[in-house]
Amino acid sequence: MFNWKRSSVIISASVFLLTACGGGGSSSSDTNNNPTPDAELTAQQQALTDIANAVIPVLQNSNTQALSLANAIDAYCDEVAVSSANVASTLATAQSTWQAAMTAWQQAEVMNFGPSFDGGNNSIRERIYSWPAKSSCFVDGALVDYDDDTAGFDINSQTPRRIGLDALEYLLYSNDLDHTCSTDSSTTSPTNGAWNIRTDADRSLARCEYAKIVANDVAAQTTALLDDWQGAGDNYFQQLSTAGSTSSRYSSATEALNEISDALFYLDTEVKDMKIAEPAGISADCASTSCPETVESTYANQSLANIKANLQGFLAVLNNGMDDLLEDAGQGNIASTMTTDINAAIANIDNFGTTLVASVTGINEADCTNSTSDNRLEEACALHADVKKVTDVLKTDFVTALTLAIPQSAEGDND
Amino acid sequence: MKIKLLHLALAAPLAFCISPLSHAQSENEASLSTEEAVASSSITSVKREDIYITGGATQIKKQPGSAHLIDQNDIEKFEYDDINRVLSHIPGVNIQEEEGYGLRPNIGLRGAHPHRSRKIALMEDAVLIGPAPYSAPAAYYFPMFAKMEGIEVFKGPSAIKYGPNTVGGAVNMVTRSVPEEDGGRLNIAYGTDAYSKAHLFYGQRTDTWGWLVDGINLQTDGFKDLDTGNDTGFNKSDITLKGLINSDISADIYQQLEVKIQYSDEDSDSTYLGVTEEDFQDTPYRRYAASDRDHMDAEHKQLMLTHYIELDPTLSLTTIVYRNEFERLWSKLNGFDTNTSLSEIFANPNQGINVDFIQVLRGEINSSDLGPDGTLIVGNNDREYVSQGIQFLAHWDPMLLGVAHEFEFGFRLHNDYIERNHTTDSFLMTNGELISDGAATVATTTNKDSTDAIAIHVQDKIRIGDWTLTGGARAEFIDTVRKDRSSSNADDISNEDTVLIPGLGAFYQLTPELGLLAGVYKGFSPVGPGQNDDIDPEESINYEAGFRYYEGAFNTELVGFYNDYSNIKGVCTFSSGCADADIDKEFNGGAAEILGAEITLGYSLQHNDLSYPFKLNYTYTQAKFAESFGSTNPDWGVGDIKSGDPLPYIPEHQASFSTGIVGKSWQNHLIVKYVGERNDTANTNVSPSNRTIDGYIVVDLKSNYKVSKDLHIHASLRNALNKVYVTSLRPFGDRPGIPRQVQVGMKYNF
Repeated sequence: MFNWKRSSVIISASVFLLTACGGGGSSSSDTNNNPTPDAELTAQQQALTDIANAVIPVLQNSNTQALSLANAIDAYCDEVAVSSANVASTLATAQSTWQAAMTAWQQAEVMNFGPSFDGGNNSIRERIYSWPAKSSCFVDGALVDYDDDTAGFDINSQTPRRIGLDALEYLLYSNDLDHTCSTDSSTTSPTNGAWNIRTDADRSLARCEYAKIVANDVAAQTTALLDDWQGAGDNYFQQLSTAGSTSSRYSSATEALNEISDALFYLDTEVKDMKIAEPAGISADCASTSCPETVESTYANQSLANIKANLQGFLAVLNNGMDDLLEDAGQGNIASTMTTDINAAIANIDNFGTTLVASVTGINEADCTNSTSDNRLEEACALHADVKKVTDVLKTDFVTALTLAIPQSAEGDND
Repeated sequence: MKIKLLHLALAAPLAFCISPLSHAQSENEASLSTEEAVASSSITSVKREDIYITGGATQIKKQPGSAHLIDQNDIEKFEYDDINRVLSHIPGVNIQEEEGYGLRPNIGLRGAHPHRSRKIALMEDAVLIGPAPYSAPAAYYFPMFAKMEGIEVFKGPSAIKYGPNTVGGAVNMVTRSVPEEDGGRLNIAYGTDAYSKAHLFYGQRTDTWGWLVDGINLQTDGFKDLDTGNDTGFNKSDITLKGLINSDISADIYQQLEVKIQYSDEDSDSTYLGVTEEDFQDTPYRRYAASDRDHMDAEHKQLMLTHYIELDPTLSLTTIVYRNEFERLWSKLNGFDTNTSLSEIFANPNQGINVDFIQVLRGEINSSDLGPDGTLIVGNNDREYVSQGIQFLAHWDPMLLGVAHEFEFGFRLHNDYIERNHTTDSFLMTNGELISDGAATVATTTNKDSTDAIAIHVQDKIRIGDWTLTGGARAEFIDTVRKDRSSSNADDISNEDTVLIPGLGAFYQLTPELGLLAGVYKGFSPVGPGQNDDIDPEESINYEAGFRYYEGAFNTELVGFYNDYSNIKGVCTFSSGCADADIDKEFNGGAAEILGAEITLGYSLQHNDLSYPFKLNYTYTQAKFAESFGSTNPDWGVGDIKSGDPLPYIPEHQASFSTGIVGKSWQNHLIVKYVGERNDTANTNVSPSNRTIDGYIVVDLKSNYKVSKDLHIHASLRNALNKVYVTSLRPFGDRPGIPRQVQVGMKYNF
């Protein structure tokens, strides 16, 4: 409703008062009751150092597991090449090693800042694990290319969909040897002919050989990432711990903290919205009651383990540096609340009782809507509520207490 | 002032235009134009000063502010349909071309961001013509330029007479008026890419009434090559009816009432999708298969009632009641069903997973092969706009204390709104074609933004000796509301803005040929509906100073300007690369500085019954942020912007030059336009990283031949050198300017 009274008063008072007009918006000086700049910087740098010290073991573990995976696939391929009786057992070993490698990496998924993030859509992270960008058809195409010209094949020039842990999941878990492309064009080898008419043995070996070089690449990427963090010279650990003073990368410690905070929002946009809400039908991106086909791990059924690892990774950063900053800001209860909620979510995953895809298949829509952390009518929807508890605090109290920004990708509220 | 006096006073400016643009016309041109003026009925009985912001061409020379008028002679000489090409003749105008035909112009003045002309007061016949100028200032509707008989651009202090956006200035387009004598014209043309124009108008006039009908159809198959082979052009029609009655010229109180009814529609296959930089080198006019469903369907209706009353020779009042309705459904590719935006993909098309996405856009691989994120989302941005109100403009020209005053008082009560009913459909690229994936249509944005606004302006112009002084102020009282129509529980978001915008200008006639001008005024652009409380209005203090010189066939003008922004504002639009959820979101950019200089030169050489007109204008603009801040606005780039970074899409240098040879029955003209290099974003550290867009020169040729008094033949060669150039990288990829176009046509007066 238009405020006529206000307008008429202002009209009469102001139209002819030209000299009284200011030239722009008012500005106010900040009142700052924060600690002295030096003390604040020291505290932030200490927090960044603590965070770095929490991230490095995760990356080390990821590297160790990736190297083991490469060895396991190598052993598997040796058996496939001779069609030995050990093919099944070595495949099982390769699969379990892949699970360990994936779990290790999923902790690092919420630590996607610095060297793993550099390079945008061709970053180390994307080369290790490009989900949600994954394509079995592209993997099929790449392995045909590799099989056709092994010597000329350059793993470094492959786009992320063709490589990484997501490609390995398909290569190790898919039992159907036919290609998954809608046409034959991308899976026809000039030398070896169309993929689908080749023998099973031939195709199994080709898949395995391709998995081997992909696993080697994953191992190489995790090694490179670790080296970026702690290698000789001006490594990323140094950059973080000196942010705002001698760091050439970060002109302020807040800038570095913002990058880390942005990475933590993986829990909101990727875990809550994509890994849980979409399969459970909570998200508008799912046009049906539920969308089981959109679970993260479609071949290995490791979606819940991945989410659990994401929560553990988040907890590692929260409780190694961020908590101290919150404490300094007089908001230590934020860290403790988030920790409690994360541990509760992890416990609920441990007690889930089935896979995520089974849980969301045939979901009851009304029960899902009514599910909460305390009223677990549909377990997947309750898990969504568990995680949302954490991300609600992340998006509000957490960033406010630390004067950090919400990343643009998380600004559109999907809740 | 009765009607005959009006004729005398108003015919002259249009027949003998003396703006810097038209001042240098030869007598031959004037002669030809006068004939055409009769046929085209350029004289109106409505007091021109109330339609022309500048007060008409005669007033421009002494305006205490920068003002330009392109009159009917210039418009007809160049036979332009595209306002972008018309405005390139005026210094200080920043144009960002888009789809090549000028369907959706992007006009900025003096460094104001040109995108969707949202920073200027855009008017038709002195009435705001944007679909919802307060609630949604991005002008997705633009009138067909072919029906205009004049256009003025005002950048100085008098721009405060027209709001709400005064920061950049004002553009007013004047439609064809009811003729003074019975008559009409048929203008038809045909050209490249099955371009055709059919324009017919006819009107009658008596002493006490008159009417006009003016209809146009423009269409083309388009110059882009869609991978699917489908058309990329448009079909646009407009019809305007005008009728007027007026009192007897001997009446003590003269009155006139005019009604204007307009309808137009547009059916265009425009797209926002460009191509990668690499593809642009080889196939600049290619359109990827993924844009096959892109289509605009729009309809515009207008009703205007204009009443003019002259109570005595010094006191007159013009009242205009107006209502504009605009509906559009723009279906266009939004992107992939993933968190990687098309902007990111086109920013680095050779990087990582972007390579795969580009292949799908080209139709080279199927969506199903890419994986779950290969599904393409086509957004249907269905919007309805209404803009309506009543405005009064009173002129009172008394002698007070021995000084001649020209008081002007304006009042406008305005309401506008936009209803958004945005949905998306999902498609799969399958063997080079977009096929529905069968999923139901999804509603994305369902809201309504509305604004009630009162605007008042007062101005007094006094002349003391050789001085002309103008002082005035504008007050705006703006109430905005955003209503989320998708939920009955959602709270409305309301905002109130009140602003006072003062302005002062001075003109000093130093010699009969040379005049000096200076002015200062406040620039303002309001906060739109639904914005967060921390969003501030755009405000600036704008200064200008310069001179005008007229001597015989020579004229020149130099004006320097400095716009000191306390807060420059950015707005997210889909066309600038924003996600659907962020559309119309506003951003503070803090302090900014825009300074520059505008130069015009005109001369006409007469020799052996031939004249050789020459016109040049040049604009220098330095536009930069004046404080460092973290930007979340994709228009500027997301990331850290430093003080001193350039404002995107404002070229430092731009110029246009025209010359010709004019005989008694023929004219040949050459027009050269130069736009300097521009920045896509503020710097290379933001996302998308800045890419400098190369400058370009485009040459147009135009010929007219008068077969008989009433029959003229015209031909044009646009982009005669077939220059390939990038107009914009927004929203997605490199977008080309229009290639060489040949057009021939004829005009027949009857």
